[in-house]
Amino acid sequence: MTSHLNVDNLEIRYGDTAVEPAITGINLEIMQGEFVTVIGPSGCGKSTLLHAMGGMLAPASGGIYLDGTELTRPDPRQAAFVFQDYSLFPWKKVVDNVAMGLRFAGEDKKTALEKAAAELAFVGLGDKADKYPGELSGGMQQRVAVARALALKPKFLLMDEPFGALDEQTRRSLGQELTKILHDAGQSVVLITHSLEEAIFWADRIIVMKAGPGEVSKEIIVDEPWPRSLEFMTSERFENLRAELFHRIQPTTVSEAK
Amino acid sequence: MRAAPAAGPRRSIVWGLRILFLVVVFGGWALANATGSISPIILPQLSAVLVQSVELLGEADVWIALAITAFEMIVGFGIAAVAGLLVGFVLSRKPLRSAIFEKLLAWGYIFPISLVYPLFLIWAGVGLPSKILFAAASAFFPIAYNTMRGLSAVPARYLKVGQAFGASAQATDWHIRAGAARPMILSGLRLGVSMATVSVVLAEMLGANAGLGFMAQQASSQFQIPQAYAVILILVVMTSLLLWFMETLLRDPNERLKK
Repeated sequence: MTSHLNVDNLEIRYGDTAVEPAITGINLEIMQGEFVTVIGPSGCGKSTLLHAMGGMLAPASGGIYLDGTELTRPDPRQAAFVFQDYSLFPWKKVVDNVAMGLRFAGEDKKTALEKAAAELAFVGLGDKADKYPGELSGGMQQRVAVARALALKPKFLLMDEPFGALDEQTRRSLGQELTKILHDAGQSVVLITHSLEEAIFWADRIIVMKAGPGEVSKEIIVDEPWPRSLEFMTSERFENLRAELFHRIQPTTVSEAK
Repeated sequence: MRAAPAAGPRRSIVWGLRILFLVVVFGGWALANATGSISPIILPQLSAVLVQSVELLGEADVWIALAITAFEMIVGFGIAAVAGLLVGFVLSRKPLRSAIFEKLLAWGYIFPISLVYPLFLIWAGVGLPSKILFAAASAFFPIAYNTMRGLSAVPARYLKVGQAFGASAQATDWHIRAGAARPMILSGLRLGVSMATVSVVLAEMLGANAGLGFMAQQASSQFQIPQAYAVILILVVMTSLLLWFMETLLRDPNERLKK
């Protein structure tokens, strides 16, 4: 059965007394296997939307539905998170970090460790299982965070600026590698990013948001075939998409700056 | 990118300098003896102290006293550890509780508790129980304070992971809060070991009928200065071994990454 995540007229407010909602009137449908990127100016509610999609924020109105069932609390087997700051537990070994998500979800220790080891091998870190996170580079730590989420075999992977803390070169190479892995596995992904290039290069569909309050201003389909080559990044079509995104985000950013 | 770890001094150099320090201290001691610049009542002959130490170690009384002192330290610390961890955990559960009791625990932490030792003698007598309770009371505050502070200050990003991955309240406490707070809790326990050790020896010297502290106090009050020094030497070796053992037991596994 094909899964789909449905965001229905979603509104999120921080506190009962907030005059303006953080996000409002959001309607989205994300299909299984789709890679969706979300971009917009700072403060437009991208992370709020993602947290709501993962059941971590209660809607003021509207709702999140997964295969027709309302998501009212975090369920990592349905939608699992990868955070920008990795958020690995430094006091646990890499394999235990990956197993932890499974343990929280109710798996016994032995099974969780076996699955964790397999998932680490899947992201190319099979030989780092017994290291501590502090012994790994930033890029490796983010792979561990991806493995922790993928180990639960979630229907949707929710990634909140996962490469934001990495340097440009690592960001690009790791991004290409991980997105290829995710695409090959048919993993459904919603990815928040500040980077126009990332938003275009990895996406089947780009959700553009605007601030004050946070709303979806445009959806752009990127119908470029997979796997995507570096030639796509230097193509005229890519430049046109980049220019369109730039202009859609720029007016809001300028008005915010004022 | 991960920063390259700062290179620390080599272990062989550290140990070499430690041994050199001891050579200087004992050499200075022997020199002071030889020149007669310090009265033997203040600083007895080093050779006499060493001979006295060897003789004492051949006597059953010293081993009994040593066992009593070690027992008081370990049991006192054990009580403090259980009570301190429990109280710190309970207080950390609610911000209001933490706010109310944080200052109180901090005050207990710095209060010179030896001032109230006579009360322990009144409550529990001159025997072992007063020493154990005094050691427990001394060690309790740093353990409870550090436990409460550590558990209250868990970075939000770790708790967010727990929430996102559906961790239960118990799993959050055990796998996330306790893990994140571990360096502070272990630091409190290490301080507790030191406090319990100092308190037991002090209590034995102030009012007791057994133990190494009592033996040292008896020897010095009878002007048996070499014997007093010998007991103190045995006490230093015993407490150093005990502290080393507890430090090893309570070491954070992640500390190896910092070396």
